[in-house]
Amino acid sequence: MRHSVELTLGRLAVRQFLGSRRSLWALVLAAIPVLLALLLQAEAGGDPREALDDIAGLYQVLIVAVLLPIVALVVGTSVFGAEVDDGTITYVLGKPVPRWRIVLTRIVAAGLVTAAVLVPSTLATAVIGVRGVDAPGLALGFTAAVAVGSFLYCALFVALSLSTRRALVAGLVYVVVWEGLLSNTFGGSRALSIRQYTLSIADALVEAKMNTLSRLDVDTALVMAAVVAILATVHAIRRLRVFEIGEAA
Amino acid sequence: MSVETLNPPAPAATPAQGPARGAAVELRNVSHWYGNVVAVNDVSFSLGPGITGLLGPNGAGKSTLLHMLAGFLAPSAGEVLVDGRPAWKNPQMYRSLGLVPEREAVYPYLTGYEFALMNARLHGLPDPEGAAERAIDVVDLRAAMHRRIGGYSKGMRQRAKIAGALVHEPRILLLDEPFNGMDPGQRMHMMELLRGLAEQGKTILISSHILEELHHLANNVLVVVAGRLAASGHFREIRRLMTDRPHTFTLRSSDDRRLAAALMAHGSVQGVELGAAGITVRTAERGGFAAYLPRAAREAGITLLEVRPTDESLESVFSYLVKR
Repeated sequence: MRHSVELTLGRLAVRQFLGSRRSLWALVLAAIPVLLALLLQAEAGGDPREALDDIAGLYQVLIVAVLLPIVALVVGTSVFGAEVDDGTITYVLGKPVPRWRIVLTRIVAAGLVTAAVLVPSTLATAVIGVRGVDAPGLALGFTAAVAVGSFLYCALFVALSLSTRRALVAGLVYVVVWEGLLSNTFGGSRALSIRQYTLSIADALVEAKMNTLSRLDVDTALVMAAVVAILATVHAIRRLRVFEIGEAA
Repeated sequence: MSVETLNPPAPAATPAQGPARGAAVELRNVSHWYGNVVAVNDVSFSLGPGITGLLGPNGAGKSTLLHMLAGFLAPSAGEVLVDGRPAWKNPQMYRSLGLVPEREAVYPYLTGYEFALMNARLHGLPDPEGAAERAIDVVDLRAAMHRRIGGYSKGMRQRAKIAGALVHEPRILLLDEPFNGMDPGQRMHMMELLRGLAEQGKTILISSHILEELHHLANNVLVVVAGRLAASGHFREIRRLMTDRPHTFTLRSSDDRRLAAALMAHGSVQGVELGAAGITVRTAERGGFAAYLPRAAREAGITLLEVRPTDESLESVFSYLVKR
């Protein structure tokens, strides 16, 4: 009862997403790594070293680099975006609810949805990939890191969706250009990359020896992740406070 | 434009209210521009209990005004006050204000009851279920309350939106084009509903681009044209202003030349032009001419084939009001 405002806001965001076609695409995307893991497992033929490399590759190249940011982008930009587009945002904003509560609820809701899509997929991929291989903590470590990454990306993309009408494009540019191209070329940009935070957290949690996933040490990653999450949230709250709904909206 | 306080001349339905005291809504020299397009230009007024109509053609700035009142747009200049406090960046004011937006979209997967309940919960009401049911009853939607809004008719959807705006029993209610797309029955029902709310002492502002929609409903009418407050006053006054203005008619008859001569004799006629397509008549005021025309034709034994007002578009009516 005490949190019925948050529950109502969150449920609205989740229902909005589930009712859209975006949710189907998210599920299709989430199925890809599981299918690939099954294929690779069949090919690896029982070599534990090869199986570990395969699963690390799937995780690093597909799940964290592509699926996580894309699903988070789709979900994160829709928690406000869909309502702004059809004008129903007035029903949420025309309430005596402090704006920070609305923003926090929506970021958490987006993070939960993103994690709900990716966690089962990551877990299944890891479990299939390391079947018969001694890899303590791998499945859990990968999955926990993806869950953390879900919330980080969502905080960023929710802030983005309140800052620009072209949030989807801006988000893609961040993921592809900044995290993809630049952090391979310039090491410095890794300190501002959610992908690197996620990989670094996974690294720290997995005890098995693997090809190093991240080149960012975990302490830096955790501190930077917290900074990015807080800055994005604060920015989103400030944007929502002065969010204008004109005749066009 | 000077500050005008528009208070109803206390008809039976509206509690009397002193002009300066307790203005629920006040605009002081408010302007709003989008980039370099001026949407609202130096508008001032204040509203007390009762129904006020906000009349103007599409694009006149009505929605911009309502959005500023609802705290969704910052005034570029001037002050928008609700209960004496700025509407912008002040979510607490929604405790005493409800908005029924023009856009039709309502969460289609919710039922009418769920929509009212959602609004009640977001308002943090102590008994959201009870409040939602009461609001559903006020708009007479009980029979359909457990059906999804996606399957509602336009009138029902409009009522669901009103239930959502009324759930916290606000003193001030803003409605943006509430009659759009309603059939006459739905419209009558809605008018009864709004009159009932006004009788409870609520301050209600209704925007519309059709004067007659406000008939029997709004005592006060504010006319907005091109972002400016062009006129304000009692409904009857505004209607008189709009109808008793120079009108132009195109007539066709069995004998145009004789009809033209007969019409020229009447005091209200300012000019008659005889053309191949018929007669064009300019009159000083419509009422007198409309009464005279059939009489004149009958007396002269002329059959009227066509009588067509040539400048009845709302825009021409409004532009006349602005030029005055």
